[in-house]
Amino acid sequence: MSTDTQWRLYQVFEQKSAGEPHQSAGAVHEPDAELAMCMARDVFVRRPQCISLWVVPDAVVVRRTSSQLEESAPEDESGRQTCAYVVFGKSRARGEFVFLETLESPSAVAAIADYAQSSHGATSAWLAFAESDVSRSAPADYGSFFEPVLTKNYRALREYRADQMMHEIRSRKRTK
Amino acid sequence: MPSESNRDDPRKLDEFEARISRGDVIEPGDWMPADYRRQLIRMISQHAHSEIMGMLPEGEWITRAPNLRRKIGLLAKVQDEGGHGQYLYHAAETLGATREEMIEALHTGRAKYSSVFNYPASTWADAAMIGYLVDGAALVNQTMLAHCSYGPYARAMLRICAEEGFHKKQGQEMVILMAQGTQRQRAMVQESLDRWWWPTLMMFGPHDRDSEHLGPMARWGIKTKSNDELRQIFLGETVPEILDIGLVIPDPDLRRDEEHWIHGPIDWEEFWRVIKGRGPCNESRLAARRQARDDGAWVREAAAAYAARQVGAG
Repeated sequence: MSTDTQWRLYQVFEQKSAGEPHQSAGAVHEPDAELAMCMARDVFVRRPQCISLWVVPDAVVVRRTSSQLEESAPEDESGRQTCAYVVFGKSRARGEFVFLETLESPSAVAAIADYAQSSHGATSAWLAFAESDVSRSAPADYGSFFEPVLTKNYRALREYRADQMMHEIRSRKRTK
Repeated sequence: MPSESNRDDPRKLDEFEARISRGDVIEPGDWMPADYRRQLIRMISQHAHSEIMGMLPEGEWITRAPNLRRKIGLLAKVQDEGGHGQYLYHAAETLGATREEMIEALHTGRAKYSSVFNYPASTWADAAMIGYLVDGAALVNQTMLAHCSYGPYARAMLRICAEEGFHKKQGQEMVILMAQGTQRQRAMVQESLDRWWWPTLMMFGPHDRDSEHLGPMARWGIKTKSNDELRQIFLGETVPEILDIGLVIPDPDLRRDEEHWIHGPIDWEEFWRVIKGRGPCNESRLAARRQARDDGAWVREAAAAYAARQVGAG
């Protein structure tokens, strides 16, 4: 199957509510980060609750499992400049990657190795990327991206009286 | 039937099937048999096509809804269907399918979509009946698929089921109101039921005895209930409701025995005719999709040109 006709792949991370960490939501193909953000909103959080979205080009995401970390010898990265790396992880094969920490590191792999050392085997797979590669939904977008989910009533089951009406119909039949 | 899985590494296949029996969820990047990948791409992409095509019959009524509340509800429902299609295309992409190939397959008639959307929505009662019956039937199928072994598809089903629930309630409320309304309203909604009942039953596919052997898709945790089992679940939920609402189901043979709903003969000739492209609306529905794609070409070109210019400037 050809892949070169597709637009750039962006990984999408969502934060469902304040206090919860961001977690992986899926991926979109778009020409740039701004459109990736719009598409991510429409595909993944059109109705589900969300307060923040991140999109990151898949090309800059580094992935490692705990067995891969054990197998490869750590590179000597002393002397390299550090910058902020965002690390996500998951503890089982099932489920989503969850945000763990942002830490200063010479590379994404080093950031994962650094975190893995201190996580005492709780995490089995990681992904990491430079913080500078993250595009975040802006506070100004909250009103159009996320707030409608909370205030539009037509999506609420309680708005539809079908169950109540069936109950009334069946009660009337029983009393006849 | 010759299977690509014959070429799969037998050891890996055993490990995969052990994972399935344990109830493991298969995620993108995991090893999977070639047949599993191929069948899932076909299933998920055709499910996505069905959501997109499903926007068309009801979309026709947005401009003609009887009041603002119904218009808003219908707008939200149709927008949901578009969103569901997007979500499912993304799930198929995790298996290696590309959007271009999937859309091309739909537009050339190579890919199938649910035959129920090839019928016309001729009256306002149809907007109600489609929500009640068609979304109700889709919910039965999707509830099963929410437990399937492929993570992205199962998760998509959970999200879609939550929204499909309100579509069904919206439709059911309108059907009840019309059935209890004026004589004209009662006649309109009964006539709508007469046209949509059998196409809805056909949504579950051919009888088990006439279906190709499910085999791998059942063994690999994708289709865990047969066509007839799903149809029975739908009948069990829906027939008592419709009878209580006071409408007549257009099936004089319909009755219940101890275990099952016995129904009259389904017109399979009609089913295959419509699936193969000769239903009342196949041509016009596909033409509408091709038109939408052509009309949107300038947006895609502009987006790509803008992105290329940013890369050049950066």
